Amino acid sequence: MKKNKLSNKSENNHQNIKEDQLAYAQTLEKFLNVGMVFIVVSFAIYIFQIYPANLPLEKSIEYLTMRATEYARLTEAPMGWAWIHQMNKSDIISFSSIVFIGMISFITYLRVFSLYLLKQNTTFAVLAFFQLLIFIVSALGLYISH
Amino acid sequence: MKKFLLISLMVLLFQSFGPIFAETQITNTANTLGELVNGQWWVLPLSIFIFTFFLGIVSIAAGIGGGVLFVPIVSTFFPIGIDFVRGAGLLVALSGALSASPTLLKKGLANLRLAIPMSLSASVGALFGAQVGLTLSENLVQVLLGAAIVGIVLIFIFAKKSETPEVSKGDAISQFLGIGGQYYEESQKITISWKIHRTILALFLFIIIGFLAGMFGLGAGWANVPVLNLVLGVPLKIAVATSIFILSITDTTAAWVYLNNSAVQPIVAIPAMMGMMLGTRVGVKVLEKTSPVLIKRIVIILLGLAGINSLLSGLGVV
Repeated sequence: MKKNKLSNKSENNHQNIKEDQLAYAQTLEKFLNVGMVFIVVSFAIYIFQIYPANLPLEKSIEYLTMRATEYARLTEAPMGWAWIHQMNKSDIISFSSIVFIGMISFITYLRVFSLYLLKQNTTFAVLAFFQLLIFIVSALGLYISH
Repeated sequence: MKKFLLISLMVLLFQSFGPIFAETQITNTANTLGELVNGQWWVLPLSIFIFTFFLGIVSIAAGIGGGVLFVPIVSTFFPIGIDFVRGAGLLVALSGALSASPTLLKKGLANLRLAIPMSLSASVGALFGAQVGLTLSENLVQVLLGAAIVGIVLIFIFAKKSETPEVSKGDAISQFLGIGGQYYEESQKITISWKIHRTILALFLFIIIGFLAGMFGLGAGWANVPVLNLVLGVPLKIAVATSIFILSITDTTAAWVYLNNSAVQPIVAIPAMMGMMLGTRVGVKVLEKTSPVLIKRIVIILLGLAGINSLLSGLGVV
């Protein structure tokens, strides 16, 4: 009897592993496909100059030998999330597609975090929560001193 | 014949980029990259795309992550600022890892529950590493990058691997977290069960790995795999797949630091991501049955030279 209980528990655990892993994979795949299309389309908009850029391509290339801080100072490039106010510029649209790629892991972690809460798997819910916190800290630039 | 084709491919690759390699030496005399490409802005993204496309093929053949090849080689041969190369390098590693992860997870080769705690440790390290990397002087970055690359080359040459390490009993933490599993080993036609031990040590090592990955914009498969395989005792196949998956999380954390500091420019990062992804896909198809030994040796030599060049240029010797 005890053996059966253990066996059932083990089977349930196995199912849980499969479920969270599959949920992660499926969510990742969906958003990655969207992200790839977004990257290609927005980059085409940028290089074919369909919309004006915040910093023209020729100018942008000129400053690429510099450090990022120097580049940002000279070109007045938006820091942090300031780019969001310039979404009508082609270089910023292209940049936002990279930001989207950077958000995919956050979205997939949200998916498994909710799954762990639903399944009352506290340990992994806590671990996923801390990972989400790290993503938020890095994405919001909460460490940026300037 | 295959060896000949591979050598021809390498020669063609480096001949094609000869002018760009040569132009790297002109960096000191030209004021801007704009002067180098002579107003033809498209030369740069096209060169990066073609270069990373071949790099993608070579990285697959050599069994070395594209991210680790990108930063030292592109920073050596392209006159692009080190921050933008590292930012693009992280995105190259990230996009490759994200693309591979769904299949690896669905097949049960990458293990989510093994990856979650290890990724958390690595992400903490990556967050600090990326921040530190962007504040260091260029010379210091070059010296440290060079030293890291030489170290990675030594790991590639000397690191041992164990197909199925023996772990008689999982440690308390891994048992509490329920980390372990089974997979079907096709070559032996058997199902292999695995457990892990030394979890605390591995968590600590992943903080260091994350720090280095964030600081240099390198994919960290070269370090993830030995820790998963030799320290934790994960079977090699699971270790390689889980390492790729961990990269997708660690590099996301580090990439945000670069994104927030204007160290990611679409004109560099996107052609690099596209070239690498396309190259690795072609590489898998074209070179699937080719013996990787020769190409791996060439890539290790190339990586070693790029590392030494970075070290010497940081020290002001070249």
